[in-house]
Amino acid sequence: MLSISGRAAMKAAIRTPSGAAWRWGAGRLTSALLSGRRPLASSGSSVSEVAPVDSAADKHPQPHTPPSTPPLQRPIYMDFQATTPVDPRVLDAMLPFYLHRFGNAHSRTHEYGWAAEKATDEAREHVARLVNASSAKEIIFTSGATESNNMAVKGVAHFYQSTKRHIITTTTEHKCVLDSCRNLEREGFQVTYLPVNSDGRLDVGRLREAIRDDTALVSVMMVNNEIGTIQPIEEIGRVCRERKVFFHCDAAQAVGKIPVDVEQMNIDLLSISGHKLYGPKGIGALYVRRRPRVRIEPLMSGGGQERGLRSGTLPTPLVVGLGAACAIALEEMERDYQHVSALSQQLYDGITSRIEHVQLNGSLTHGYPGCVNLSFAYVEGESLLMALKTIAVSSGSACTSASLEPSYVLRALGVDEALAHTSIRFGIGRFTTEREIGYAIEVAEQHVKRLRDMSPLWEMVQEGIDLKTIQWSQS
Amino acid sequence: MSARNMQVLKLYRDMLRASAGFQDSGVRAYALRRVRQGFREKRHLVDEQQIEAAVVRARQDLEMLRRQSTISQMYPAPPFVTDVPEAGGRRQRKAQGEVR
Ligand SMILES: Cc1ncc(COP(=O)(O)O)c(C=O)c1O
Repeated sequence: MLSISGRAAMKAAIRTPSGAAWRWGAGRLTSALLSGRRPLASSGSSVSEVAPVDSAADKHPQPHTPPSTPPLQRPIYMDFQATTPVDPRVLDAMLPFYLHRFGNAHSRTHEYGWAAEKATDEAREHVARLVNASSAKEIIFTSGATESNNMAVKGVAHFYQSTKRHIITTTTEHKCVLDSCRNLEREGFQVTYLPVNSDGRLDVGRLREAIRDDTALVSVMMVNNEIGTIQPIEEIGRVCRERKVFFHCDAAQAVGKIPVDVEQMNIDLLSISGHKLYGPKGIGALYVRRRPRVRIEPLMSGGGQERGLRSGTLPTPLVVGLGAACAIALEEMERDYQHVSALSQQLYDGITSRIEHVQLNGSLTHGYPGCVNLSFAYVEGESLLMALKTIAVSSGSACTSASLEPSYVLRALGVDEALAHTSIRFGIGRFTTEREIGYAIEVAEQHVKRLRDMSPLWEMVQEGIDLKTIQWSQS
Repeated sequence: MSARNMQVLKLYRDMLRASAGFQDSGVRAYALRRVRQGFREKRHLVDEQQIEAAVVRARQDLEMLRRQSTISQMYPAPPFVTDVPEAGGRRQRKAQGEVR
């Protein structure tokens, strides 16, 4: 466990007003927050689109492969915002629950059930402690942050709909929050989508002006999944509390990475995802404040588990995995943060010193360092992704479908369309090594240079022609 | 060297050895780094009770490392593009700072 003083120091760090320090400055978590680090990352978008893994390489043992075939290699993993590998300590905690400890946590009549219930109670405590909830009863287990976000946004709106018909959120939220809001609009609710600044941050003054007498909920994420920007959550929480509006925070990318304190930040509902903090997929949690009480209408009806808010048998192994991941995150946060910031700085310095015309998308001063979103000017996005296929990264171009639309998050920042198409999100985590960072820098340098050498645009830039002055159209 | 010192040194070596068994090079590097860090952080403990608590915890962690590194070897994955071929073995891994 992190010592009391360690936790206090981290809390003190968030409380300190942020100066304009460089995102990676010092390696320590505390000093990082002092200066307001930058975040970001992206999420659920298809990883395989970006860096197709040889499908054979994905399946495990291949004992019958003839020795003549060269060994398959897999890309290095730099997509920690999409998902994280399960920590071995987490798997170790989970395995007994897939073996002899298989009881139903809701069985009241025998030892199998009691043992499972005890394990889920302990897990609940670990989750509560990581976000400083005053009681484990405030933690509701869900299938992930998507469900938590749906439950919070729709649940609050529906419960208070007789008097409150207005929701406020931002344009850079995760799709599941935005889509929940769209659904509410169809039901007759009004939603205000606040714009963000060019670094992805919300202007709290704008929020203050947007709050109305019939505003039920403000929903703002803590760390953005595509660009890593950290929102001024404590200030937002203060405004919401003053105006007596509930505050929901999607902290899927923040929990376990930076200090999250629902008391100090005045958060009423907080979404957590297991597979973003080295826990298993298919499990998450929603923190729901009990004092002052927040009421939500459940999405699931049934046996009344989870205080009636989320019926269904608890998946004990997954719940235990999430609990273990949270306990480990609390203990490792400072060490992980130092590791991630050092590698982040190395990656950013390496790439920007070797390649010109690279733009950082997100915030230099208020970002999570584990998410480095860069745009490489004068290369073709698709070709760059192809070239980087030995590195599992994600791109800002929504090339998953036939659509060639750039990411809505980058567009919301006002990133130039061409630059948005060549953005690459490098995700760094607990298991990233220095060697991998060095490799990523080298591969990026080699391929960006190669692609630029083939580009007529690049040739013009080299000749000093201002591309903006060119009349492209034939007519 | 006191019996306690010898006990701690043996735990340290056993934990490093178990960590070196992880199949995935990223996890292996993390485990080695974390074990070294953990012992370094607790190097200055003098209170006998605190030392005993740390030793108990380390023994549990050692068992976990042994189980999990063994499991990782049962489900081997293809090497990463950055992994150095097996042929180099310990010597190359040493050059890369993974093994001392
Ligand atoms: C900010 C954010 N919110 C929500 C989610 C959805 O989480 P889950 O996969 O647990 O449903 C993600 C991840 O994709 C995310 O990054």
